[in-house]
Amino acid sequence: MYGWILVIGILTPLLGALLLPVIGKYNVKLRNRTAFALVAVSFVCAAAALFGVFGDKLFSIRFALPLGLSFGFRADALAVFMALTASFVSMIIVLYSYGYIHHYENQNEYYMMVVVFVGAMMGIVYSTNLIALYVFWEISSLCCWRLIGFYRQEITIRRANKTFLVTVLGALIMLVGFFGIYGQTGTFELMAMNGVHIPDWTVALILFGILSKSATFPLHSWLPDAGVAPSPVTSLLHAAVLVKIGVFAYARLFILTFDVSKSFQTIVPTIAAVSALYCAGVAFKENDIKRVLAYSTISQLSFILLGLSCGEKIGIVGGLLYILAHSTAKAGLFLCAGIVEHSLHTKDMRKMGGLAKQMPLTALAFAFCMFSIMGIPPFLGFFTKHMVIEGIIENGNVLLGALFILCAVMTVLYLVRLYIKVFFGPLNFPTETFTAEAFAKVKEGSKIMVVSVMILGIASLALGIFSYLPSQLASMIWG
Amino acid sequence: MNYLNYAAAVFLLIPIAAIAINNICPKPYMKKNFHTLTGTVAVFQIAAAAYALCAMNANGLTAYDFSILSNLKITGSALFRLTPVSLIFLLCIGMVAFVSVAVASKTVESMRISYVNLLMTMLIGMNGMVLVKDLFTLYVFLDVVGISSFVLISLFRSTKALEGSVKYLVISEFATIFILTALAFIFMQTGSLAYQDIGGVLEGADGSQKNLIYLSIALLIAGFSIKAGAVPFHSWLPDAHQSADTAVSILLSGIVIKIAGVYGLFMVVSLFPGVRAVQIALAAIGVASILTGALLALRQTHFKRIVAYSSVSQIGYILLGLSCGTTVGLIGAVAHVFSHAAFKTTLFSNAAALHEQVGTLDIDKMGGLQSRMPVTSLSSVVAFLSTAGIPPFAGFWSKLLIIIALWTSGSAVLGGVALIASIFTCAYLLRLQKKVFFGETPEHLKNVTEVKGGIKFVEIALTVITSATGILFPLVLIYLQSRGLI
Amino acid sequence: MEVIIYICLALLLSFCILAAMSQSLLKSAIFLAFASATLGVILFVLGAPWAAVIEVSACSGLVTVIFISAISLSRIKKEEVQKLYADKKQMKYLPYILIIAGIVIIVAALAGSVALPGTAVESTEDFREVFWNSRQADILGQIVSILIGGIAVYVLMRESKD
Repeated sequence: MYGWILVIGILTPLLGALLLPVIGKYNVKLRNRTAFALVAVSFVCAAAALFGVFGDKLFSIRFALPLGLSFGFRADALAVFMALTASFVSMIIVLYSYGYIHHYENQNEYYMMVVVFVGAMMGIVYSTNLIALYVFWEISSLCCWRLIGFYRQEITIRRANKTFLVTVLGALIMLVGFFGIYGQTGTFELMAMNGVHIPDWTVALILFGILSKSATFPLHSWLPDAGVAPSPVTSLLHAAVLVKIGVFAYARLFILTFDVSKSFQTIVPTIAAVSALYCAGVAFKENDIKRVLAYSTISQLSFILLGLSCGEKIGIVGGLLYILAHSTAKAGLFLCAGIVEHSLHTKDMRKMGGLAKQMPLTALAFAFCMFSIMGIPPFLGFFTKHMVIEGIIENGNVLLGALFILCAVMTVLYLVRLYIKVFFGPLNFPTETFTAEAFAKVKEGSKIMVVSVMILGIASLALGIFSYLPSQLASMIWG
Repeated sequence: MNYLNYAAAVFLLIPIAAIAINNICPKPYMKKNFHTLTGTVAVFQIAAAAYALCAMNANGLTAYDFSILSNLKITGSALFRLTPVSLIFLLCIGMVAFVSVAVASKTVESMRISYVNLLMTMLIGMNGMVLVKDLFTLYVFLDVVGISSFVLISLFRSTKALEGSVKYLVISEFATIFILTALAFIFMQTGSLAYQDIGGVLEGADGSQKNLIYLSIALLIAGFSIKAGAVPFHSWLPDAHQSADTAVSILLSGIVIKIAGVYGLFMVVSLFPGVRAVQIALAAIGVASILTGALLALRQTHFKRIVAYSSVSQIGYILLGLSCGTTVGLIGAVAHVFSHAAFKTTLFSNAAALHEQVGTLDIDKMGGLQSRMPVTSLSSVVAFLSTAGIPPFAGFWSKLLIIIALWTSGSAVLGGVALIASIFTCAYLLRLQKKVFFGETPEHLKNVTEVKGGIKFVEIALTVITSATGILFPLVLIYLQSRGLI
Repeated sequence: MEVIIYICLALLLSFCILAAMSQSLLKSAIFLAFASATLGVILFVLGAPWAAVIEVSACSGLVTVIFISAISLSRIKKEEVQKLYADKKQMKYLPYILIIAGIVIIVAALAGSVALPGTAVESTEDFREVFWNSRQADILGQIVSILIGGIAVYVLMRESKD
């Protein structure tokens, strides 16, 4: 009966979002607060499910249907871990949106899509059925499409369409893989297929879908292109939540449920290595803040994929913890980039400099998040990267371990480049939008935006210091 | 039981009554209120179909025979039959007719009385087709539908409309010839064309007779595929849709190609079950239609042509469902008939709305209309998602059932191809969205307002139907399981 | 017996081709009348006298009368019709090719696998009983067809208001 808590956690954002445009017609403030409340409900339900995990009596519920389509929701350790991460970061992003979006059009649709997206994410992590997973997966693609095209310009619509087509194609190919499993086992339910060995071609197809959603080389190009979206959208979709769907599916399907051939423990890390190095290299050449951060995301996702696919417990736990670290920190980085963009109306790094004086708090939050991504103790990123690399080396693949250490070094370098160009250095500003006097008046972003990024920055630090708490939950997943 | 008889009589007698009322009432009054009359007929049909479904379910019937003009005592004179499948088709007919009427209330300015007459005769034709128990009678009503559509397409007698309708008529004649020849061959074998007599014809035949039967099955499939607009007989569809008035396009795409074409193929499959050649032929036509329709739609610039090619593509899915030969495939095909009726009529209603408010249907001249026409835009997005098979709308479930049927009956590769072909559907509909709704409003369109009245009402109603069917579909699955069908 | 049927089939085919290819509407209508008459003969020889009678009286007689009256009322000249399709002159022989191809295909498909149908067995029921009782649904269909015919004529042939 506690399973209904999960249903509430999923349906409240999904269905409640439909009310937001209606409320938004009459009272904007109420709509904003309702949006936050809806996401907060998901967070509370996930927290409640945490008790179930620690008490060893998982919340679950099942609805029987014919043709193997019976679906249900189950809050095991992995699901709760992902749900908590996703809903926490989403709450912060909704708060941030108050300050960022309030003078644009199409706000009703924006809030509706963001909340539906959170609901879809909850649906994905709790689902026990492949078709239900696919259903929520596609709902998230739909939200992505509308949100990326928020500004309604020609280029944003084109990019939104491209993202939609790439992710939907990946999902369709993944669905073919799911059907391959169905053909073999006659059911779509994950619980019934625990430990079943599935043929390599289905794994390859499902992997295609995962790679498309998590923007891994060669299906990665939609992610930097989607930087035309508003910053909270980019941070929600492309840092914190959307891209984590793919690696979550990897964990759910290939680690916890099915038995796949060992060859994938070499193939996937190799793909991840190529992706990581290539994108880290490109990040050096980019001059658009959000594109640098996007390529960084792709690179870090490869780390996560590496950790999950290396087959050693420490690697897997490291990968999962890195999901948490990266979500928090990268969301913070994108939101800070949003503050800079909001104030300066440009994303070009070459036109910026010395902003640390004008926006000290933003710079500080940016630094905290950045340290976590770079892997500097005592931030969470350090511990997780360490665990991931240890995992791959324990698996015997020293070459890949070395490549990833190289990638970590590159991460440090391009992020420092970004930071110096934007915040340090001589005072430099885009002259086409500012005169010197006008620029001198540029201050921090609005209060709510700064508070949001500070929360995320401090969270990155705190999670590192108290890292035994999330790692306890993470090791329960594999145990 | 008596009520069931009345419900059954509704399908055939109410349209006749409507024709009578239409022509007897004074002309000016009829011209103003034509949509009330036809709307009432459509509502009656929907209500009767729904009631009959419930009544048959409650009494556990799978078929109900009735007749119109004489009593049932004479054996063999029960000439019409209600089955749950035919009732779902009747429900779709009623729904599409209602939408067409709602759109016609805005777009049909002249010739209203003739429009009502023709719509009613078309209704009789379509209802008759799904109700009869005899192939020859099916053919007679098929011809009724054909002539009604031909005249409806050319109702306003513009040059383009006449060209489109003549093309439709000529190609449709081929269908008629094929079907009639096939009926002749079958009649030579069995001496009767009633469904119950045709059933065993393949078993009782020897060598050359068997060839004749196979030839007639091939001719039947060819003839009905022409009517359905499946590849390679699809060339009449875009022209006919584009040149007809939108209210007529709704009828054509929403229901006529399905009753005249798909239902015919459904009868072929149920009369000759298990014939491997039939399944292969339907599967081949299905896959070809899906791919050709989707690829051709990518290049079009006229809103209605894109939607017409989309119909060709979706008919392919229905045919794939029929080709499986299993109950799940059949259920998937019928479900897709319903969801296709819903989303296709939504798209055509949007076309009507755009034509009314913007004045053109050339998508290169439009853009960013979402902020100016929010209801139309929302309904077009829902229709797009349902067509592409994106959850949680109705189109997703019907496609899923068809793919499950394909996979479990051994055509895994076809299932994979059909699934991945959905990406083309996404592509051309995304292009449509980008060019028409999703973007910045150009200067010359800043004064466009939302459409009012009947069109807005059906757009909202159809969006609700598509979403509700999609979200509540698991209940349908549970019901079918309780009936032992899956 | 069979010889008559073959001759009549050949005649039927020729009349139909002439009706389709003729450049005068009036001549087409007359050839159509002859074609229907030939079909009536075939039906009679095959042993379906009622069908032959209805075929000759309705198609040959009634329909031809309606055609000829419509054509004489319409007043379009042969030259005007030809002008409309002047650009299609180079495809003048296409219909003949298609017709011959069609005949070849049909003959090839049917060769050897079917015998010419024999004469029909005289039915024990009066055709009126058959019509009303066991083919009742057809009656409805045919009434509606006639109705549509009338509506179609009205819609397509009315004088435009402008």
